[in-house]
Amino acid sequence: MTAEIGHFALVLALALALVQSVVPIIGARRRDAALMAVAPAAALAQCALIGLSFAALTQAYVVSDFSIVNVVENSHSLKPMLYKVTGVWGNHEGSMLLWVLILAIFGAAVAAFGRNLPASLKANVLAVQGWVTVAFLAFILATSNPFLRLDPAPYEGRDLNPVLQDIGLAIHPPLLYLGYVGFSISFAFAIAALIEGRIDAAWARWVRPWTLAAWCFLTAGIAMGSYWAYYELGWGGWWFWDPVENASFMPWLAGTALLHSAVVMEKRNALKIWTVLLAILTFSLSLLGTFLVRSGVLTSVHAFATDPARGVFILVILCLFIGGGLTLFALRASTLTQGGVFAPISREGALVLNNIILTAACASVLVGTLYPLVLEGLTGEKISVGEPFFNLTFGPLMVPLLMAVPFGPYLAWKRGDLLAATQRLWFAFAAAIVTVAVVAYATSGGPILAILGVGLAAWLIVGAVSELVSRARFREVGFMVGLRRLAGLPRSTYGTTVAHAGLGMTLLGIVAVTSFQSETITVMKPGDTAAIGRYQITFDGTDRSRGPNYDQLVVHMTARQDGVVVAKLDPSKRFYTVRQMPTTEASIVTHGFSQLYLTLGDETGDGGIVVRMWDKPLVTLIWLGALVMMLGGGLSLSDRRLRVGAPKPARASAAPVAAE
Amino acid sequence: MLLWILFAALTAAATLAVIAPLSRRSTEPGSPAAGHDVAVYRDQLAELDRDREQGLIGPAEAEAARTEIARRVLKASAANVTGPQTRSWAKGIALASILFVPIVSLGVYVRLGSPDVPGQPLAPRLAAPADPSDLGDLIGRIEAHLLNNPNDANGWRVIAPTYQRLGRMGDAADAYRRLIELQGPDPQLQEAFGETLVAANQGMVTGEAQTALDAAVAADPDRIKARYYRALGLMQAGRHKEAVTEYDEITKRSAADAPWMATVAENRGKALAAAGLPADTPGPQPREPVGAPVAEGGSPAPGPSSADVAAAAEMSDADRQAMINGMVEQLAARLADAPQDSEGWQRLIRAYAVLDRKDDAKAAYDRARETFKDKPEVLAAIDGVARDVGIAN
Amino acid sequence: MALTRKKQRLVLIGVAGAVLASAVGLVLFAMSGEIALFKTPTDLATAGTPPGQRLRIGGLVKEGTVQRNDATVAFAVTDTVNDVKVTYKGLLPDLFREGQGVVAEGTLGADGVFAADTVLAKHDENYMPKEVVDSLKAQGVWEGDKEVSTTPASSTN
Repeated sequence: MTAEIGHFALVLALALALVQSVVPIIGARRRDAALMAVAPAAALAQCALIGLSFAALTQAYVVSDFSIVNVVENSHSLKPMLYKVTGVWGNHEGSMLLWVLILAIFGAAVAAFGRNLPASLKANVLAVQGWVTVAFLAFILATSNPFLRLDPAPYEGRDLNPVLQDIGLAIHPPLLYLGYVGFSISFAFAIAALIEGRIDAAWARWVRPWTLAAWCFLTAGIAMGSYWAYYELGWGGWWFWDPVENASFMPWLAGTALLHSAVVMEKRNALKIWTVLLAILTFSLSLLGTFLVRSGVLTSVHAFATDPARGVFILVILCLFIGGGLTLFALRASTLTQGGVFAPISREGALVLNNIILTAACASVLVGTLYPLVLEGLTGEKISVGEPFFNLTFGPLMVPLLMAVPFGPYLAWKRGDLLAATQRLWFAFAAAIVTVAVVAYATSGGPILAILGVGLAAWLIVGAVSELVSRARFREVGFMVGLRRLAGLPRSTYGTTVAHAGLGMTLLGIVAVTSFQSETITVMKPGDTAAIGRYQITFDGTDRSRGPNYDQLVVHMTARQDGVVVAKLDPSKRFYTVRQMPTTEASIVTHGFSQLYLTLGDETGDGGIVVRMWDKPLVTLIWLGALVMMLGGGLSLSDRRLRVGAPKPARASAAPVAAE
Repeated sequence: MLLWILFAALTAAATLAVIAPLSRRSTEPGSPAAGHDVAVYRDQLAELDRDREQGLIGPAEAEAARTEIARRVLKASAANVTGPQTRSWAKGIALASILFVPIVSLGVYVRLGSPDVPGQPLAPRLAAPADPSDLGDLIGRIEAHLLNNPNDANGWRVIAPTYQRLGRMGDAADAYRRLIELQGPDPQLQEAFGETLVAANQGMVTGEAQTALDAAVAADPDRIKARYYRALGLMQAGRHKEAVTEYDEITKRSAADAPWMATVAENRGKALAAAGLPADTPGPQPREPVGAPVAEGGSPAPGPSSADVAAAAEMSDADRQAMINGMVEQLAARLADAPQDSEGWQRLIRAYAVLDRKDDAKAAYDRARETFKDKPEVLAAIDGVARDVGIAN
Repeated sequence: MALTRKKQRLVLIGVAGAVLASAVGLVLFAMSGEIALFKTPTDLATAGTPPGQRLRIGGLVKEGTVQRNDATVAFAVTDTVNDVKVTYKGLLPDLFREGQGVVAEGTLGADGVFAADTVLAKHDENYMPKEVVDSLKAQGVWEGDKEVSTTPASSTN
């Protein structure tokens, strides 16, 4: 019965979303407060209904109700409880339900916390949210209904795929979706502004925190996905330029650009049109990502069931929203008023440069991702665009941006002084030079690009921190006053510093792993010792045992550094009897920021086994840097400034005080 | 019923969410946009001062920015007029929504939902005793058992012929394949495996099927059914002469009155024609008629074979009873509805006999005789079965 | 001496144009050399490919051809008509098996042996690299996906 309640609640949510997508717009045009007030009420009720629906599906997974097709196909009575719950969104239907639930939660958040938004803006924003909700609810009910029933019900489910039973994979999709769907708010704000033909000053105040929140989630989601692929696939790689990865990376790039252009708009009312366009593009790329993953048009390491009906449906949604959004933009953009002027060398100018480069980089990723699809569609020729392409296009585009990053915060608004900024960055520059010299000496003249890359990372990190220090003006006001000044700086300033330093950390990790990792593949037998990077690995022995639902071969190894035991590793090969499926469990040991990574290949028959080993220096910085970036976003988000400004619920009768 | 009451309550709540704001006699038109703008601009001015203090903007630029913002403040203040309030729409829309939400949701749900299917959490289902008359339920339990214990040969041995009888040939072939993997080659299993594979492939004898059939015949040359499918495969492969030889082998090993003799003769004729041989090419003589099938595996109408029963004997008591009863009762029920199935009756008589339910077997025999009293050839076959199991002479 | 709006726009367009132009240049340059074409063994047998060009080849791992020599593996990829010999140093994916679908990426040597740097096998039993499915379908050896025998309860009531 719960399943049917969930199903009905979902249908009811669709009906409400239809009302929400029409009535408030009429209200906003007619200036009718009652009609506009329908929007928040419907959004809240809809969130409750979709929540109920999601809870019903979760309950069905928890009690293994095999009268539901979705549960049969994606669950199993022997699954641990945690993976029964995460299995709800570990499949196509459930993950779309999660998508729409997050959309509804964001809509409800606008309804609940949007008290200080102008009523007509709020009504229009929620109506646009309603359109998106209608489209995806219709998609779920028509092609991906998780509540279809099975009678008679089987006694056991089909899925016990061991590869998918992993905490990383359980957390990764919700984080990604929070990011993707969060950008729908920016999109809704942009479309609402175009419908109204004016952008309120409150607009950017609202768009920026939502974008920031979505960006934080997306950053975390991408980092989590990358780490999952790193330790679970056993290939030792952390980024494959796989189309599915690109699908989440493109909105991230566009979202990062949006984040920065929204600052200009919020503070200086400039770049309005561009910001609106970026908001539309960012969400479009999120939709494109959903399409690429969900339609199964891609060849990819991510396996999802493919179904052409679904693909076509999402393609229609995609065209409607992107095409509609861009058409509206083309028609109405000219009505938006111009903002303040600024010199090319200025904070605004730096942020524009950031936007241009990020957009170009995003476009190159887009080309690399879609080109094979287009070519195959047009000529039938199959090509694959992989790492070399992206390294060659994305890399060179990002280098000037990374070099420019430390300058940004040093430049004044409207008109900056590049020379003064350069002078104040001397310390960071010196630090970068010293780093380059030290690394070049330590690696006895290693690859020049890699050494410069490490220097660039140092430049980013030191440059970000030194900006904070120079703000305190220790030299002029003394240490104690400086500290107090430092403490008094707005949190968004800290956010900038932390996020930029995090970017430097990630870059450092990437450069170090790409250029200085060592890798060995060799056949080892008990007693053998092999050298990898700074370590000597001894093969102590093997051991066969039975796990709860698998047989395994565990290999015991000891890692020594100059004769001293530093770690015990035991990579294993498992064979899951139920699924008749072999898996390899890599063994990873973290030392400082570096990792030693061991994984197994086939047995050679004479007692030996193929072992692949990596010594990966500073590899964890890649993900730690991303987390630090996210922390920076969070700091910025907690800035009081983002919450003050818009008035307490203003009454119409209380005429605003005239400006001085 | 409870379900529909809950649906009604949910619908009412959802509709209320729409009509509550509409019916509120609000005098509050919501805060106008301009008020927000002015507040934001004032905040921008304050921030400008902070930035200047921090040295983030030069004094001249700050002054310019201040002018820009001040200009916007003035403009926003001027625009601060509240629009006219029209109320006439609200009532119409409220009414439309009250109708719209229930109609759309019920309309869509009735098309998509399955309100009659009860929820079936696994734990209580497993706790409930098995219903022996529900074959689907029994199969489900065995399938679940096999999913978690894929190496249990007994389970596969029970389920394979059951699938076959239900016409789920692909599943049956998979089950036989698994069984052969677990138990090693066995002519009877390989024959059944080949047969189900052929059936699952719409009569095509695939390479895998051919291999299985060859192995069955090699191990037990009297496997008539295996030979028969092998001959079909030879025909499909265009090896007509070999097919003729195979049919001759079948004839040699069959009784003259075996039920498949007519088909074999007909197929042999086709093979001769295809091979370009004269239609009257002499073949071997069949064995003397014995009135009973030669080998159990050779019987074209499969009953619960001794292997099934043996498998059942190794199952738990409840499972065994359930399996046997389920199969037999299902057959009996079907024959009660559609009695014109002579093979079905023969199988039922055999089944009762195997279960040592002589009275039921006799009753079934009598009913079958009654049903087919006008068809002497059918009667003969039924009598043959009855003699075979010892309930008639 | 703030700029006029017109000049501001000109500078913006200039910078944007320069960045875009370099992006386009990079993309075009990368496309000429860094893209891997997908070929079947028959393609390789019938049409010559310049050695050194990055390729992806797909097909089935030919039965009985897998040879392991220390950490190097040699096997043949077949589309049932033609075969290509492949060598690979590295760990094969868990689901790499004889007779199963596989995609290898790398370069074709002058001796006709394909040196792979990446080998992908089917990801789980419902998944096979799309190119492999397509090319096997074209050869008529694709047997189709296993049918799911569960069907939704009647949705007409």
